[in-house]
Amino acid sequence: MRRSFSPLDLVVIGLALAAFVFLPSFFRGEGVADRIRIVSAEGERIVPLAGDREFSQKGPLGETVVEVRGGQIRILSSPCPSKLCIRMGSISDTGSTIICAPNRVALRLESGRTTSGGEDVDAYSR
Amino acid sequence: MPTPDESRTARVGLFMALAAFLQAAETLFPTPVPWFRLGLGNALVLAALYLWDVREGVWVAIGKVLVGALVTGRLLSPGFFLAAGGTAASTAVMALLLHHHLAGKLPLGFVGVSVAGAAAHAFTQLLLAQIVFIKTPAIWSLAPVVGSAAVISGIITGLGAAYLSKVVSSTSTNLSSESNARL
Amino acid sequence: MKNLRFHIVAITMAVTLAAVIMHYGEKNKGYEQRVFSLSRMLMDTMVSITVPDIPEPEEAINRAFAEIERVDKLMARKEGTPLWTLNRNGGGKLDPDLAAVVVKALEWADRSQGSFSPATARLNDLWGFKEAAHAPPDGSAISEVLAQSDWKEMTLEGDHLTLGVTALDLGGIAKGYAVDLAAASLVNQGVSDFIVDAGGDLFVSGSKIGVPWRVGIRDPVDGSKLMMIVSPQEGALVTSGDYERYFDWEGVRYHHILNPDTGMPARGVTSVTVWATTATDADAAATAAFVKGVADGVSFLEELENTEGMIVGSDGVVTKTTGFDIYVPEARKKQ
Repeated sequence: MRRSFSPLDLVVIGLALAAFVFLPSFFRGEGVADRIRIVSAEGERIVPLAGDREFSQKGPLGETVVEVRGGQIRILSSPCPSKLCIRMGSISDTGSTIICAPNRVALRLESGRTTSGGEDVDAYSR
Repeated sequence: MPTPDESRTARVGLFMALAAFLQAAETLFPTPVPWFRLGLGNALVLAALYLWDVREGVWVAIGKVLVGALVTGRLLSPGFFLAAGGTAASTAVMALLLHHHLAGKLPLGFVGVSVAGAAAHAFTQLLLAQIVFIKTPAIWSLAPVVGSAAVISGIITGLGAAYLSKVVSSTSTNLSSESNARL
Repeated sequence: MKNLRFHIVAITMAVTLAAVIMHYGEKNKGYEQRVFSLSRMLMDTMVSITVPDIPEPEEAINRAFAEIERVDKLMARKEGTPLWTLNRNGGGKLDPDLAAVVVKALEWADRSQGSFSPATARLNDLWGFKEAAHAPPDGSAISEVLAQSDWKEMTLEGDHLTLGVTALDLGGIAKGYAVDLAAASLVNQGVSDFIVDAGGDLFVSGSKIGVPWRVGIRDPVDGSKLMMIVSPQEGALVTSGDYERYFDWEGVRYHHILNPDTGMPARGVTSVTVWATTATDADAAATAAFVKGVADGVSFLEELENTEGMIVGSDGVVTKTTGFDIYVPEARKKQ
């Protein structure tokens, strides 16, 4: 006769609890920013947010250098006078943007699953 | 006098009815999220899997989902698909742990098998909810609370299944010895 | 035998489960594909147009972008634009689009008793919000420029504008006008469901296959949060905030929405969101209400027809006009 409770069951209980505690970080893919929409005078393109790197985007004034790191992006250097885009710091939320108007470069974080927001929103008024 | 086969069929039918009753009754329980099912009926699925074989377990599972949904009027509703998916997953996991040839090497008790089934049940419901309801990561932030509820209900259903199996197998022994005696 | 049966059952269950997941996955994918969006850098901001998946959406969207680009090339405060030429010559003959916006701008200046003004060009230049952080201009410089910033000095006769000592800046209204033209272009091309988004100035039309569009209104304090999700009635939704363009100097934030009376950044308000039938009107009304402050701003918006608004004060208190929740209801919770 199979026992109603065996010591190994404790392992199962522990594993199950651990799995459910750690599940969110594995499955939160949806709605979380996973790509960068780069809009510039040259048009628009979409690059993945994954992978730490730097890239630059050409604009009328010169090169805007973007750093991608741990799911966040920020502007490292920009040829614009105000440097407002650098002062905007890092962004990581879906739908948030960094815009460098003088160099005509805009970056928006997007989620592959919804058009513009983790909150399942079609546009933002801000 | 029922033959052993007939009495087994009758018992499977009884298990199906009981599982469906639990499935319907648990809608009265408050859960962390409205559509989430604890899966108390899994006790009967597990007992059926243990007492007989996979086929009987599946029958009880089908009865639980289908009849349970008919009684509560949720047939083909989104919640029904969550329950169906969850039950399919938990039945598969429990059958695997009880009947796969490797399972003999894992000295799991009823509670262990049941908790594993309940975890599969909860996980599949979350997964289907995310897909069916087109929700966002919010679903997965529920995982810890839903998972804890599943583990607790898994322990309860495991103990229930153990008790049930004991009662039924002892009565069937009596029955068969009785019928043997008469023969 | 038992093993074979078990495998058949297990495989059947796995296939069934996979089929259920794929079925809904496919449906879900279809949902995503039903929205199509393109973006461009125009009017110093990111302009996005979103439509449900219609045949050849690029063509219709690109025509709408062309309208915005046309307005940008007419009204940007950049060397060589017709607006720049007007300011250099102290006035001149207006092309139809420019005339339409100037008429609207003067109307709004009058209606708002100068809280909205198209004559703040020299003030904006003095403050230099497009430049790096610097000391704010001193009082005498401001009063000197204020003397050249009275919109009442502007006269429009037919299509001829005389600026006098003033200079024209359509910053508070041109973006709205461009959004309206893009929306009209889409409608003329038979596209009735769309969102035109020019840096948060929206025109929302129709729905997303019968489901209302969902618009997030950003929390003006914590930009990574949403204050609310709304499904506005067909029309424009424009938000003006002190966080859009600013610089900090010696611990004080100087933002770009200037009070035309004082020449200083308007105080007391963090953001204004206005719903109106056109983005031109919503844009101007939001700027005017921002300058007026919370109490006067709300009563100003309350008086306007077909206009509703919500003002977030510097203290974080949210004040709405009586009809705001009717025209800009919170989006229904997704099931």
